[in-house]
Amino acid sequence: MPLGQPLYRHYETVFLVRPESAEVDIDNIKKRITDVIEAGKGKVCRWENWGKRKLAYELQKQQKANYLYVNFVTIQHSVFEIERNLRIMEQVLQHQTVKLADTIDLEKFDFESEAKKRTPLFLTPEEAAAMERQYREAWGEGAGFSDDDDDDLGDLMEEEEGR
Amino acid sequence: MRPGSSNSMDRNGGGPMGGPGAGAGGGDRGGDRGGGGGERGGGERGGGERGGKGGGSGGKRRFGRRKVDPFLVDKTLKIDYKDPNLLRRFLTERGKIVPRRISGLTAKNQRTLSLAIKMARNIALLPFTTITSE
Repeated sequence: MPLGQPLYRHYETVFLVRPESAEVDIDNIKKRITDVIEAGKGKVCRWENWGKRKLAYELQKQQKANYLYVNFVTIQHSVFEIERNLRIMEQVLQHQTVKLADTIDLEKFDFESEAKKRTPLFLTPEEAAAMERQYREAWGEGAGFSDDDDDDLGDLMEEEEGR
Repeated sequence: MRPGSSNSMDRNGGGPMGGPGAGAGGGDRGGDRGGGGGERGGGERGGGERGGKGGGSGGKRRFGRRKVDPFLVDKTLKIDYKDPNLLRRFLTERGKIVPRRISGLTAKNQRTLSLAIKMARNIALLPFTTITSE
């Protein structure tokens, strides 16, 4: 498919592994994905393990799942291959790949700074608390949309109730 | 929640026949608790519910302050689908996305946000609805 120079792009994938799966299984899955990326001459920037989280809704009768995150640069074909692998693996409940940037120049791409970044779900408790404070400040006192004196929100709730 | 509230509706339903005072009380409660029973209920009960609503909100449409876009206040805040704690602030209790007229976001930010929420829903970080789990 690729004509001339293969196109490298920046992607990230989040996938959910069954809560009861052992660490060995998770390592195997990680290795399998890393192998696919490297087979395409791509590069993994970083892995994150967000740990066991409660799901917002049930997936295959599971209430919880291990969340794993990988940030990488590779060719398009590796992404198809990764997704195919994730679909096959029974340990994986759900997955989602997102393209972060188009047309990466492998020579110029700053792998180091990308490796240092961390997603909001992979912060230390102190950092998470700082983030929480930041949210509060941006919203002023009392975060979020509470149904205190806001008539508009009240209307919305009533609309919802009626349905 | 559904079965409980419809039960209470049934019990209240006996009220209006007993006396007008009791009827008004029942209607009020039904209005607060949820429309599940009201939809199925008779015309009389529906009327009671509407009366309860009008009394509860105390005069329709107050001109509230226009909320400011928090993403303009703090430029370092980023809309990210991997940040459910941030996104959850823009969901109603039911898990619906809060509309722009209430959230106060700019059109652009609202678009980015709704996309991020939908992505977060795909990987079970946010609910599509809370109706089953509650």
